[in-house]
Amino acid sequence: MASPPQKISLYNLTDLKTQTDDALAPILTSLPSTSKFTQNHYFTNVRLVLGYVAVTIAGVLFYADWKLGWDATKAYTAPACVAYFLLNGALTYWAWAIESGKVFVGTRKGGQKLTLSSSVTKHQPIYKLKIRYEAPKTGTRFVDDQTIEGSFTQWFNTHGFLDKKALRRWLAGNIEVVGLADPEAKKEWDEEREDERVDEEVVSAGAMRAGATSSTPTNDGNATKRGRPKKA
Amino acid sequence: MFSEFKSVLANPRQSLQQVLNFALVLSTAFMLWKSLSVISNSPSPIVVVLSGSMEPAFQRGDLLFLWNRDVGAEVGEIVVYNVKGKDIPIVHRVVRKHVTMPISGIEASANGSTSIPSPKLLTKGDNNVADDTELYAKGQSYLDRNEDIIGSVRGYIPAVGYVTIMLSEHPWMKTAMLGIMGVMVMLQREQ
Repeated sequence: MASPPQKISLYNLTDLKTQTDDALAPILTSLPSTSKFTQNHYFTNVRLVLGYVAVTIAGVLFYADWKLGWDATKAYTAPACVAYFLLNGALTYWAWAIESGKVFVGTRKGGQKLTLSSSVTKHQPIYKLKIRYEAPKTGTRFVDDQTIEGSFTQWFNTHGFLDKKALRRWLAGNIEVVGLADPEAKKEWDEEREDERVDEEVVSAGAMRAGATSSTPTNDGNATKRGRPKKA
Repeated sequence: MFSEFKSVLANPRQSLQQVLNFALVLSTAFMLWKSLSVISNSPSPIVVVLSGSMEPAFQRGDLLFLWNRDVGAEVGEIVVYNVKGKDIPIVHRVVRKHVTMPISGIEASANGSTSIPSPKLLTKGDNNVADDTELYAKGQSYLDRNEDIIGSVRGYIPAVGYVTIMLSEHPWMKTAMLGIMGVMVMLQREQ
């Protein structure tokens, strides 16, 4: 069912973003047990309908103009142009203001709704994900907004392939509801973080020891030379 | 090939979106053209000069902007006309004009307003020896302002239309250009 893995250029931010956007839905719709989300295509459907109605108007006008000529179609051309550009404007507004980066809308049994909107800042390899989780708690509605950021290096390997498992771990580790639904990925994410923390501690401990040695008067000159050989 | 087809089926909305992007580019260009037609009241509001018959005023490849909301046409005005049975519009200057004056009372319509009859025009290319009588349809010795003229020239940009002359004289260029455009739109995604 899924398309074959696609290799992309790691320096192309658009590719990184769209590849990641596309990978979100398969992960969230295949979460284990009953907590998986069903994708809601409402926003995409509205966009497609607006676009295709506009294109159909243009297509019909083109055919009529080709078959009947200007004199016969003259009366219908002005209304068709107005309708076309209104629909086109509505499409632009919908994509820019209403959809505004929504890459996944899903609901699951119980009526909880998860909406993800992604964005990137030009020339910065950071993936920003805006998360809105809505749950119909008895009586009052519960809404939780959250924004997370992640470096693309966390789920793209050096060859330019997306590591779906790594992305899944990142989602589970950073979005609470996904973490609860996908405890296995969450556990792996926490273990990774634990490893990193230990590594950092080792590094900082090493640095401290190095600092202690270099502060001895006999080594001082050498250490400076070694530290900045090019500038000296 | 088969795997591509499979991925189209796997994500139909994304494929529809890519086709839509391509269709929107084409349809927007067409509708802008049609809007210009409506505004200028001309079936072809922008034309390219194809021959040197109007030199030195216009060269081959000049882009002309037409306006067709005027009722009459004056001697000295440069107009674009279509000859019945021929597809190519011709850009020439009006050199003679005849108006059949309405005999008062006869042409007046029921509400009292007199309808202005469409002037008959004779045209000639500045660079041609003879007038256009030879170019007109059989038996026609004058153009009818309302029926034959598609607009008078209101502005021009030199030379930029030469691309279209190249494209129509070398049809393979048209095919290649359309192909490249299509591939580019299909491959690149928004942003």
